[in-house]
Amino acid sequence: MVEERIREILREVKDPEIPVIDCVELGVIREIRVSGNKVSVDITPTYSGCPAMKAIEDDIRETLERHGYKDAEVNLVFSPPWTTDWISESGRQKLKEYGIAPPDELVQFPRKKISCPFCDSQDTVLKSEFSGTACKAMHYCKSCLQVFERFKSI
Amino acid sequence: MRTADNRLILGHRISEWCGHAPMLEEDIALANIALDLIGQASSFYTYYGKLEGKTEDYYAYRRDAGEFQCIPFVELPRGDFAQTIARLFLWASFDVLYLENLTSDSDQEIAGIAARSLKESKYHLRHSAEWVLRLGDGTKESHEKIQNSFNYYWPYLGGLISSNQSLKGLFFENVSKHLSKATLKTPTAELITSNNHSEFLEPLLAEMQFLPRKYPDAVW
Repeated sequence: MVEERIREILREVKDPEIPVIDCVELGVIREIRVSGNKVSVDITPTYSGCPAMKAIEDDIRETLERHGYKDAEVNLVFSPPWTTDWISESGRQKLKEYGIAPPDELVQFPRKKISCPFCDSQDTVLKSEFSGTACKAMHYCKSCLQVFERFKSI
Repeated sequence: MRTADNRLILGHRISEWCGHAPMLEEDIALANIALDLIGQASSFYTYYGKLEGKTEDYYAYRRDAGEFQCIPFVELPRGDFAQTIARLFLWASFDVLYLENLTSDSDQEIAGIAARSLKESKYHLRHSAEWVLRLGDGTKESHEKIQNSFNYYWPYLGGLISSNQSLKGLFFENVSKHLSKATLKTPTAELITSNNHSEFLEPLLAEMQFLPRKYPDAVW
């Protein structure tokens, strides 16, 4: 199926802030429509103010063009809103390997113990609900004395 | 449009802390919150822009103060850290209710923007609520500063609740419950109902709009 092929091509589009995961794993691709050589992709933005979204949008267009799909259309779809539950299993694994604790299943106020992505200890504390990017919180591991980031569950 | 303008202007005010906050974690937190608010404004502007054939940049950069519909509550200077936290707490307390309500809007796109913004707003509320506790129940000085800040912003809440009067009761109930938890008094000052702009909006716009006004051909 050509939609499947497009989806494979889109895996080349990485998150500019977290370059180990691609936009398919991030769960922002909602729908791919193809008619003739014209491709249209619906994406759901993650955070309102996330500068990476604009980069991903442009990158999708450029990548498709490189593969011969000129003038691809990228539409922003707001409803239903993006949730970290849409991050794929492989995406979660890659986040952890990259040193970012992956989000847990959705809870409104995440208060349970977070495992350190480096040493797996649960002896960690939340330092700040906000970190280097909108999507992450800052934690500290008391076992390996390492500050680490966690993908917030939203 | 008023809700978009409020988000942009409050976002700008909070962004003024970038590089100046009392500590690094808070600098990052406030910058993130500002980014959320400006991003929410951008989503709403893009939505209106599609209806009116305009870009989001037009709404942010090409309108004069008189065309903005924001309320004085968000225009007031950022003040000190206590003032910033007090205003953010009041804003977020109302915004969580406001957005919750908006998620059932008949327009799917508005409902979607509201649902996503709501997730962010809950973080803003939790973050500022924790600071209200810490400052209110902290030292004598921090207690005084945050109490004075609430007293200062209180009358301007009139403008904030005017966007949805039906949420007023729950809003004041939630706020005063948290204030008493933080050993603070709920102010009793009368609310200002006029939404005329304050004298603080124009200088803010002058700074925010300077570049695109001076160099109209500038591109991102």
